[in-house]
Amino acid sequence: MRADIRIYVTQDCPSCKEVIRYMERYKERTFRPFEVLDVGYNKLHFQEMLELGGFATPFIIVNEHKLHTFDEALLDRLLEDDHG
Amino acid sequence: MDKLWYLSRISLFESLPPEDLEQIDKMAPMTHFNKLPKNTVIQQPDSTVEGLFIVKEGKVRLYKLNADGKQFTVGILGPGNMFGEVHFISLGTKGLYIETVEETLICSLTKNQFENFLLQRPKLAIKFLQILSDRLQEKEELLERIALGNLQDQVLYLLVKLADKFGIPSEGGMVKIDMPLTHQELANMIGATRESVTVVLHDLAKENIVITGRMNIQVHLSKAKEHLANKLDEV
Repeated sequence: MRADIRIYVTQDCPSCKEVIRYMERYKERTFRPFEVLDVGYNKLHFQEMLELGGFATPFIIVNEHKLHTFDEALLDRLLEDDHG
Repeated sequence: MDKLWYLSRISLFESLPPEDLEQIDKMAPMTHFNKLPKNTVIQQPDSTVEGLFIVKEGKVRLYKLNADGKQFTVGILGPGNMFGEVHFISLGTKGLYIETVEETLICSLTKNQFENFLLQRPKLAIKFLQILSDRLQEKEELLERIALGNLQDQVLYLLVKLADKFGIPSEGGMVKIDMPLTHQELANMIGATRESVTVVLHDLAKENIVITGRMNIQVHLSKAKEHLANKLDEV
């Protein structure tokens, strides 16, 4: 069972690091868990990302919402709506 | 008219020189071992993907479908080319299908990364302007070519464009277009039928301007350009 909030990442991807840092700060405030899945090495995670329509990292899932890039303002809004 | 417009955009996505892309490369280094398989549809017209993306390895094809379901290729992006839409910049890929042509690796850039990058490098911003201006000029040339040219000119012009962008030198002054291309795919790119493109390619092969093989095409660039220049003089 996957978490509602997931980030599909690769190592050495600066945007991935940014979004992970962002989510860690979010988790400290809200205690909501999130899942980080490596798609660079893990074939199953990669396949899962493809099936969800992801094609580049970081690929961010918030419930049914899919973000193909890390847009902080948009993610702020999504998480607020989702939590709220 | 639509067809002309789509065709004229084939040259819209010329990549920046490698040295200018090195910095962008550092922002989105390549670490995947897993690549997107060939023929993965990345974007459909009704669901434009937000973000800025760079093709790191492989190629993607941008295309539209007309009412009859016929494909018009708008552009082919190779390594170093960018595509995408964010609210402050449009790379002209809205409302298109984007599909991988071969195994491909794509990375995303955040808006901030891209903005800061350009702000710190005014020269690169100027280069973007140059590219835009070149696009305009090419578009005018192409419109003229299509308005006045026959199918042979269109095919030849397309092959020259593809060879300029994806060519690798081959024997006897030929340049091999480094991507698998069927006659049908070429026809899609200029909105012609496969049969007519095949006829044109045979004619060009007889004149030793192109060599066609299974899924690959070689072009004699200087002969092709000379051919097109002569045609332009005639009109």
